[in-house]
This record gives sequence, C-alpha cells and structure tokens, in this order.
Amino acid sequence: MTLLLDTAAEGQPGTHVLAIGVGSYPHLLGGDKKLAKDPIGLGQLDSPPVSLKAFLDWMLAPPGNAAGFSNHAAPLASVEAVCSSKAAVTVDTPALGQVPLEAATRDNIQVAFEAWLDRMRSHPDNVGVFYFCGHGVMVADQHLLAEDFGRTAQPWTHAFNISLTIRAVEREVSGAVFFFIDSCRNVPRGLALTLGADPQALIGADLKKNVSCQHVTAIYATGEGQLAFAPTGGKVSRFTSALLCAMSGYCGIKNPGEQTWNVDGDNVASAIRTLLQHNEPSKDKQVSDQSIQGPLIPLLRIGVPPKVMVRLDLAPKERRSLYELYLAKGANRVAQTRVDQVFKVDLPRGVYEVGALDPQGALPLVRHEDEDLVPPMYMLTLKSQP
Amino acid sequence: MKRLHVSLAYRPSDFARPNDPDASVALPVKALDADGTVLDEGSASSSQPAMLSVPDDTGMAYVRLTWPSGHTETQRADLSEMNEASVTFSDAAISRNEWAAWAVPKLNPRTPLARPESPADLGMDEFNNVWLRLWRFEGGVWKREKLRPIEERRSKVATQMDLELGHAHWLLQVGGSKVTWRFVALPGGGRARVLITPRDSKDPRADELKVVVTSFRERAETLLEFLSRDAMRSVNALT
Repeated sequence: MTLLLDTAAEGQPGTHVLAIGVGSYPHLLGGDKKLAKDPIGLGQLDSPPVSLKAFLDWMLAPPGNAAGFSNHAAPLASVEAVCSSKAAVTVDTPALGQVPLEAATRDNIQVAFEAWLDRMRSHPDNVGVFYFCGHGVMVADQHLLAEDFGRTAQPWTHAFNISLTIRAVEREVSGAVFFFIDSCRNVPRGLALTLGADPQALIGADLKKNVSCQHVTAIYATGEGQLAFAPTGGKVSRFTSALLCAMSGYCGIKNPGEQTWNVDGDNVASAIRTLLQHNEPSKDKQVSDQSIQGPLIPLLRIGVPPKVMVRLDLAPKERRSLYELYLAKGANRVAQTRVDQVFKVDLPRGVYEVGALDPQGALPLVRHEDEDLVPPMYMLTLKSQP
Repeated sequence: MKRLHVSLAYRPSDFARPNDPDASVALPVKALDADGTVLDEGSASSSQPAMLSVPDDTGMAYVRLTWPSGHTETQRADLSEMNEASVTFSDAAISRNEWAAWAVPKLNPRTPLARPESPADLGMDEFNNVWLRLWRFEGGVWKREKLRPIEERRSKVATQMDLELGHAHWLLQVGGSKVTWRFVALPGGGRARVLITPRDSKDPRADELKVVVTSFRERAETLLEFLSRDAMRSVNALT
C-alpha cells in the first residue's frame, strides 16, 4: 500500500481516501504472463492509471485551488492508493514529493483497505471515500478485478465482491462513506455459468452488528448489466471526468443556516448523470447508477456558489446571427451579439432573466423571466416566432 | 421571519378512497434567493399548503416545485414590501390529455405526453402486437384472470386502462415481439389505473414501454417515486 497523505488529527473528524486503479492485467488478453484459463474476453486498460492519477491529483491539490478537496468539517486526513499500470505511476504529494504507487494486487488491495477501515473507525464523524477504476463484472453482485486476476486456476481469488464489501462497511464505521466505482457491470457468460466464481468481500458483513454508518453513497459508472467507457488513447474515463467536473464547482447546495455550498451524494450523483448524458458521443450510451442511504452528509463544503454550464441557442437557426442572446441577474448581464453559434458561458447558479433581442428592433423580443439555473448544466433553445 | 404560503392546485382524483390521508398529491417545495441559496423547504399538497419561513431582509424570493421526474417549476414571490406572500402551482397545462396528466410528473420531463401533439411522435401504433396478461395470486398459486378494463383511454402516445382489483396480489404481464417480457405489480383492493407509453429515456436499460400505475394514493406513490430515484433531499422534505 502507498500512503500519500496522513495528517489526521487525534480527536478530530477527517476525510480518508482509498483509491485503486488497475490498468495492467498480466494474465488477461494482451498481458505478459501466463494467460488465464478463461480471460472472459477482458484485456489491458489504458484509462485506469490516468483516471486514478487525475482523481488523486484533484484530491491532493493545494488548498485555495478552484478545483480540489475542501471540507472544513472533515478536512482531508489521509490518502492511500494502489495502482497497476505498464508504466510506473507516481503522484505529487504535499509532504513526500513524488511517490510511486504500489501494484494493485489483491493482497495489496486487502492491506490498503484494512488500513483505510482502521483510520475510518478512529472518529464517529469521519468521512470515507473509496474509488476504484478497472475491470468489473457482475451477476447478482458486482465483482472488481485486481491486477493478478487469472494468476491461479481459481481466478476469482484475485477479485473482490464490492456489493458485499459495501454492506460490511456499513456495519464497521459510523460516519459517511462515498463509493465511486468506475468499471463495467456487464454479465460475462463464463462467469454466470461457473459455479464457485464467487469472489470474497474485502471484509465479511457481520450481521450481528447493526448498520452503524450514518450515510452511504455508492455511485456506479454504469447501470447493471452495462459497460462503462473511456476515450481511446489513455485518457481519463467518462465517469471519472464527470465526477471530477461535478466536484470542481459544478454542483452544490446551500441549505438554510449553512455558510458553505455543500456537495453531497444526492447532488453529485445527479450532476454526474447529467454530465455523462451531455458529454457522451452518439453511440455507447453510459448512464450512471447510484444508491444513497441515510441523511445527507456533505463530502465537500465549498465557499463559493457552484457554476452552471450554460448552452443558449435560438431557433430558427437562420435568425441566430440577427439576435443578441443574453442572461441577466440584477446588474450582471452577459450576452452574445449577432453570432451564428450556440452561446456557451459559465455562470454562478441562481435565478436569471434569459432572452434574445434584436439590436435593430425589427424582430420580436424573446424573454424568459425567472429561469432557475441549476448546476451542472442549463440548456435552452429560445424560439423566435413568427 | 417573513412567510410564504405555497399551494398546489392539482385536481383531486375522482377515485381516491374516502378519508385516505394519502389521497392528495404532495410535492417538495423550496424557497430560494436569487443566488439559489435555500431559505426554507417543505411539502405542499392540494389539501395542505406549505408554510415557508424566510429571513426578514428577503426582497424577492423564488419558490421551486420539484416533480419526481426531476422537472422543476419556479415562481417568484415579491416580499420587498410585505411580510407574507402566496404562491400557487397548478396542473392546468400539465398534459395534452387531461386523463393522462396524473402520470406526467412520474415520467421523463421530455415525455411526449407533456407537449402538444406532433406528427413526429413515436406512436403506440408501433406496439400494436403488445399483449397483456393479468395474474392473481390465490390459494398459493398464480392464476391467469381475464383482463376486463372498466374504462379505457387511448392517444397517439399512450394507452390507459382502469381495473377493479380484489384484495389479492396482482401482476400485469407485458410482452410482445418488440417488447421485453416483464411483470408489473398492481395494487389490489380497489380501482387501479395503468398507463402505458413508449420509452421516454435514452437510458439503454429502459424498457421499450414505460408502465405507470396508480391506486389513487398520490401522496404515498409520489414518496415512493422519489425513493426509487434516490432523491433523498426531496424524500426528506416530504417526510
């Protein structure tokens, strides 16, 4: 295991992160070791090391950055990571400089998980983050594959059951835990037709214990039975991109009496789903899935209002270059005048007047009062009639 | 504190059970300032308005109503020269067909049921070969029953039927050459309404036909809709 940050203060709640990225699978197709008896059609992945590094860089970004972790009630207390990749992955850390990550074998994942769980138990109001990017499959439960999957005749000893792990963690800690699972959830025929293909959970769920966790959010990159995708060429996956974008100021709510804009399971799940929907190519649809339990506890507490990606268009398109498209809130007004393209701008969330006016005064005014711009996106096509 | 009264002018169902506390629809409402900060939140129903409190220095407040589908509707309330204001949300223009309005808040905001009829609508005609079977659980076994709607409605984009179901467990089986076979649980013990409309979502997991069911217990059913979508903030506002 590799501990990248450990600044937990005794007696104080903090946020503890465990991040796992698996791109190199030596026993799967294209690997450099003995091929598994049944690789179930799975091979090497370019995206997980890149996605993991993007996630860790975001978490470890210096305070005060526009993007990066912020939660004064549960500050970042520890970050632990393992990663498997053809090329070594190193992470810039505030205290230790460049740190290379250990391989994400099943044993290393187990050790890292147990250390993370111990840290989570140290305070009742701790917040936990569990991130995984790599191969995943499912039948009834979802299984995530470690680097050494396929090393032995029983390949599933080198995977773990994340569904049961989540149920177990709910009985082990008392704060809030956020699971971000960036992997496929398809059902391989070879897995469904194999008795004994039952990976263990990272810890058993002791049903004698009551559920103690105040809040659990689990967000999956895709729906049951579906695939998750990444752009080709070793880029950050679609899900991790949407997650990092959502957390970088594109979601949040300020509740009565609160001083900060809070990012919680409810609004981050909704933002991820919206961003995936609008950023995906026409084929290979990917719709995230989530499970949210218990009262909402913020993962992030941010001092500035969230932003909204505005996409304002006008129909018919031939009239776009004749109009000024605008958004106004109080004295603040942004506009795009007589340009034949969609007006794209980022604005702080809030209630705006949105409209289109003809600077020449010949065409009719189009005006929408009180448009509620809710993060992460606001899309509207104004209609100029007749 | 200043006060906002938020009412819901949604038509009550003709078939709600007498004295049923769950009969009238309840939806979460929020009072926001111009920056989107939540000032207060609560639940408004057609029988009981929400009473929201906002700070004394509030000038313009914005009241947002949320449907289970995620669709929102916002109205402004000017409190700059008064201490109380009222806002009413209506379902008058909710659907092209009055008989289908009850289902619209539970469907995707882009459902064709919520907009004027268009020649481009994906019609129910495409699903002419869909079959329905009704099953009742009795004496420890499932038995097929005749499907006898007591009322039927049909448009280009939806078909709706009302069934009178006895006290038992009921399943409606839907299938067809272009439709994945599946069972939908129906509530027993009175009148139940089933609306079937083509898929309104791009989600690859979505079934070809969307089936929406009501037993005219709007409050409980709306809460279940929010729960099924993990919309915990709305659930908290309603409970």
